[in-house]
Parts: sequence; C-alpha cells; structure tokens
Amino acid sequence: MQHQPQQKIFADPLTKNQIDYKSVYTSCFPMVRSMVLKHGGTTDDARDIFQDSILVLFQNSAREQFHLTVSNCTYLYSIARNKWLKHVRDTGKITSLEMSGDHSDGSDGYYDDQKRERQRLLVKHLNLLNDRCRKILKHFFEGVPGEEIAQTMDFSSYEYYRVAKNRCTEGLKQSMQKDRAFNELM
Amino acid sequence: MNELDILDKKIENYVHKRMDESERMAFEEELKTNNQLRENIRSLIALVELYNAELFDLKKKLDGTEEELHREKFFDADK
Repeated sequence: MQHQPQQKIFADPLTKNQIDYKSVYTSCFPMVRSMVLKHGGTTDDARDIFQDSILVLFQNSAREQFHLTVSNCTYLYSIARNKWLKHVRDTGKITSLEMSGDHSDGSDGYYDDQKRERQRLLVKHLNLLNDRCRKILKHFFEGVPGEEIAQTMDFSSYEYYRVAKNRCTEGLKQSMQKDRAFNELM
Repeated sequence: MNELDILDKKIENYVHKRMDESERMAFEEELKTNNQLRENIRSLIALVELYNAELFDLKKKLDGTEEELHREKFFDADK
C-alpha cells in the first residue's frame, strides 16, 4: 500500500481544491476495507466509514491546533477504526476488534465532537434530496435572499419558491429524524 | 406578495440576522404567542448553523470520486 506523503491532504486550505481524491481512495481505502471486512462489515460499510473519515479529517484540519503527526493513511485508518468500533458496539455486534489489543476507547474523542458529527449528518441527508431541493436549501443556508433564489431558479413567483423551500426543508428534517445516528446526538 | 410570503421573508431575515434591532424585537414579541412558528424557526436556525458549505462541496467531490471508482470496478477488487 502506498502512503500519502505526510500533510498532503488538507494541509494547506489554499490547495484543498486540487487534492486528488482518487489517489486518496486508491492509497488508503484498501486497509480500511480490510479492517471492516475482517470485523463483520461489507465493502459498502467500508465506503461509508471511509468517506466519513475523510470528512472528519477535513474538519480537523480546519482547527488551528491541528497537527498531523502520522501519515494521512494511518490517520484516516485510525478515524475509520474508531468509527467502526463504535458502530459495532452500538449495533450490538461483538467482534474480535474489541479484543485485538488496541486500547482505543471506541469513541471518536479527539477526532470528533457532536457538532461536527451533526454537520456531517446534515450534509449526508442534504445529498439524499433531489437536485432541485438540494440547490434551494444550499442557497437558503448560505443566506442568499429568497427573491434572488426564486429568480435564479426560475420560480414564477415568490410563493412557488416559498412552498418548494418549505417542502424541501420538511423533507430534510424528516430524513434526518429517521437517522438513528442523528437522534442519538440530539 | 401575500401574507405568507411576507412572513417567510421575515423568517428568512430573522434566521440570517438581517433585521435591525427594533424589527428583531418586534418579531420576537410575535413569536412569543406562536409556539409552532417559534419551534419552526428554532429548527431552521439549527440547520443553518450546522450547514458547512465547504463540507457540502467536499461530500459532492467524494461522491463523484466514488462513482468514478465504482465505474472502474475499484470497489469490486479483493472482495
């Protein structure tokens, strides 16, 4: 497995748009998948955990006191492993992961906190909405005035925009409320 | 604009802190007598505060990357 050079991922906010995510996957995903498969999960579970771990890494990199001291792959693996351990504990699946000699407490601890986890859940559920709802809510959350959204998205009146936005918001709330992980955080 | 549209604009301005002090105080007085609206606004503010544009963009990029890798059968390897 190839490790990404230290501090390549998200090290410089100015270059984060140029990150080659494909190489992050090809370099780091196999070890995460191997860990998840070995402990009762599937490749899809590994994909979810891996993607979430990249988002955690991104959020952590924004913190001033954040210093990456291990390779990016090792760091991602560490986040993923803690997440998977927490998942298997929460779902009552006991696997050898808990007896592997690693003394992790199974929480995200340093890597995570509730607000940032809720942020990731919001993004996840926003992405489950249809394209039009996603655009409306993205603009709304970013503070674009409703009249401007209505105009740029070709609503024939503010009323149509308002009704659509309220439906999208309700859809988002319902989707999030169905998510066990979100309810645990509320 | 009808009354509901006007209320919606008020909610939007309140949520995004675009009201001046007197407007905001008057609107908060209105909210005291309308539990449902108050609750609705509370949940909207929570969503707006949680929203992170950079995280949203990154999630889209990662989904795109996964789609590309899926097409290349990357995730089928070593099952």
